[in-house]
Amino acid sequence: MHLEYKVQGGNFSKAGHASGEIKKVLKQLNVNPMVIKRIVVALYEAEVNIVAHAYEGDIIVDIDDSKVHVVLNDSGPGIPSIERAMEKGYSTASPLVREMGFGAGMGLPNIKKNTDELNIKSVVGVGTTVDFINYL
Amino acid sequence: MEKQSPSSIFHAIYVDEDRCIGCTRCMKICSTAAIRICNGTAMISNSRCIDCGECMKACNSNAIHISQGDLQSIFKYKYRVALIPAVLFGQFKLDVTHDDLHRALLSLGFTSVYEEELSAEFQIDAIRRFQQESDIKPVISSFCPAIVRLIQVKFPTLTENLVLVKSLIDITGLTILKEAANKGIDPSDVGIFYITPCAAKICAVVSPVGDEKSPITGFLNMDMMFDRLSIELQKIKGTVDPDFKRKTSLTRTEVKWSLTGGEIKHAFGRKLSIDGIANVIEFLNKVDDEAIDDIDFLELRACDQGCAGGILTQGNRFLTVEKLMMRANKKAVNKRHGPYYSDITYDEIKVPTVNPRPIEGLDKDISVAIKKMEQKQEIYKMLPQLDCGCCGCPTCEAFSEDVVKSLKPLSSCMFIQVAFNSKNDKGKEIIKKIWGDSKIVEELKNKLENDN
Ligand SMILES: Nc1ncnc2c1ncn2[C@@H]1O[C@H](COP(=O)(O)OP(=O)(O)OP(=O)(O)O)[C@@H](O)[C@H]1O
Ligand code: SF4
Ligand SMILES: [Mg+2]
Repeated sequence: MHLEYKVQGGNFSKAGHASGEIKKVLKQLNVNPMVIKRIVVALYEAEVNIVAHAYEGDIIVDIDDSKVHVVLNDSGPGIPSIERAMEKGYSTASPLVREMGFGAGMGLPNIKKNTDELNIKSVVGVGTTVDFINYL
Repeated sequence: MEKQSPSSIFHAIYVDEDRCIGCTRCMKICSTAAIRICNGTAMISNSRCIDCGECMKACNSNAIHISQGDLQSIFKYKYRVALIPAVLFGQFKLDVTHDDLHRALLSLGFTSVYEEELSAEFQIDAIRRFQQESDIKPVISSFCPAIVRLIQVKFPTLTENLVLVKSLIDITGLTILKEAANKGIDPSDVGIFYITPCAAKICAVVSPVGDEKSPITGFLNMDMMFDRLSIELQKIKGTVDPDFKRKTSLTRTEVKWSLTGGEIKHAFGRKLSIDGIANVIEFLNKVDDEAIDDIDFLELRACDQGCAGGILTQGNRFLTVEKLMMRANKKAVNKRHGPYYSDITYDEIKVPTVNPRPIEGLDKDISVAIKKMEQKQEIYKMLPQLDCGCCGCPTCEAFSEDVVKSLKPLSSCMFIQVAFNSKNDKGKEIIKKIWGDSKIVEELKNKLENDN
C-alpha cells in the first residue's frame, strides 16, 4: 500500500497532518498499538523537521505485511554534519521556531530511538532525505 | 460478571425501534461511529458504544432509552443503602438541606444513605501514588467511565495512562460493606443502590472495567428518583423528625469532585481538565501523536461541566454547578480531614489493568487488511464526500468501510444509484444543479461496471 503527502516549510499549524493520517491507516490495518506509536512519533518528528528547517518536502509511505517504509524528501538547506545533528540537544532552530516550542534538539535522536532502520542523506544547499523502516 | 469480549459488553443505552424514525441525528453525533441506520431505525454497535449518552441528547423522537432500575427491588434486602453522588444535591433548590434529602430517601424505604464521594481521599492517594510510581505522562483520571471506555476503543495505547484504581462508587461500596461486617451484619442482607446521573455509571456498576465484580447491588436512575424525591420532600417540608440524625457529611473537595476541575488540584505537576467528549477526543488525538508529552495529569469528563451535565440530571448544568459551589462554600461545610472511613488499604482498591479493545481494524490478517484498505480508499474516492447520511452511515468514509466489510451494498449510496441508473436523467440534473458536475461522473459508472 502506497501513500503520499506534501509538507510545506514554515506551516506549523499543519505539522503533524501526515503522521495523524498514517496513524489512522495503521490502526485500521490492525498494527500493534505500540508499533503504531513508534512510527507515528518518528514520522511526526521528521515532518516537523521539514516544517522547521526546510522549504518543502514529500512524504512517501509504503506498507506491506512485514514493514512500514517511510521516506521524507525535502528541498532545503541540508545538514552539514549529520553526526552532530544526531546528538541529543543539538539544534540550529531559529528563535521563532523555539518560541513555538520546538528546537530542543531531540527530534533526530527520537527518530533513531523509534525506528528499526534509519538512513539520512543530505546535500548542503539542496536538501535532505530521511529514510526509515519499522518492522511489523 | 462480564468478561471483556465484544459480544458480552454490557450497555445501558438502547434504541426504541417503535419510536425511532431513522433521522440520523444520533448517528452523526456519535464520536465512535457506533451507529448505523438499518431498516429505518438506528442500530448501536456493541463493540463501539461507550455509553456516553450523546445520542440520547441528540434524539428528537425520545427513541433512545437508558436501562431503568426498579425502586421496588430495594425491598428484597433487610439493609437498604442509598448511595448518592453529590450532583444529586445540585438538582434541588438551595433551601432543600442535606438533612431533608436524607430524610426523603429514608422515607422512600432506604435504611441508610451514603455519598459516593466519601471515598475521594482514597482516589487522591491513588492518583498521587500512580504519578509517583510510574514515569507515564500524562496520567489520565479514570473517574468518568465513558472516558475509560473511549480510551479502550479509540486510544488503545493510552489505556496504560489510566490511573489503576477502583471507581469512587466501588470504594465507597466496599467501605459500606466493611462497616456492616464490623457490626456483625451478613453482607447478603445489604443492598447498595447507586442513584446514577448517567448511562456510563450504570455500566460501571454492572460491569466494572478491569475488575471482577462491584460491591454495588443495583442502580436507580436520577431522573426517576428526582420525581420521587420531590414528592417526599414536599411531604416532609416544615416537619421535624426528632429521631433523625444524619451520619455522613461531605467536605468541600468531595462536593466538587465530579465537576470539571474537581479532581485536578490534587494531582501533581502540570495538569489540565477537559470536559465534553469532542474536546476530549481532540486533545487525546494530540496526546496520541505524542505532540504533547509535558503534561502530567489529565482530568477528563465526557459531559460538559462534568457530572452536572449527566444525561439523567434534571437541572440545567450551569445552575447545578452554581448550586453545588454555594453548598461547598457554606461556612458549615464539614472540615473533616482524611477519608470518612479509613480501614481500607491501597491494595484493596487497586485494579490490575484496563484492557484495550481497539475497534478500527479492517481485518485480523494484515495482508487482508491492506487489501481492504486499498479497496476502501478506491471506493471513498468515488463517493461524493458529502457525508449526507442517506446510506445509513455517518460519513462517506464509514460507508466505504462498511462496503469493504460487506455490511452494505455500494448501491445504498444515492449518488452511486443515480450514476448507475442512466434512465434517471431528471435525478442526475437535480444532483448536478445542487452539487455540480463532479459528483456524478460518467467515468465512475464505467469503472463500477468494469469492477463488477
Ligand atoms: N530536514 C532538515 N533540513 C535541514 N536541517 C535539518 C533537518 N532536520 C534536522 N535538521 C538539523 O538538525 C538539527 C537537529 O534536529 P532535531 O530534530 O534533532 O532537533 P530540532 O529540530 O532542532 O529540535 P526538536 O526536534 O527537538 O524540536 C536541527 O536543528 C537542524 O539544524
Ligand atoms: S462526566 Fe459524569 S455524568 Fe458524564 S458520563 Fe462521565 S461520569 Fe457520567
Ligand atoms: Mg526536530
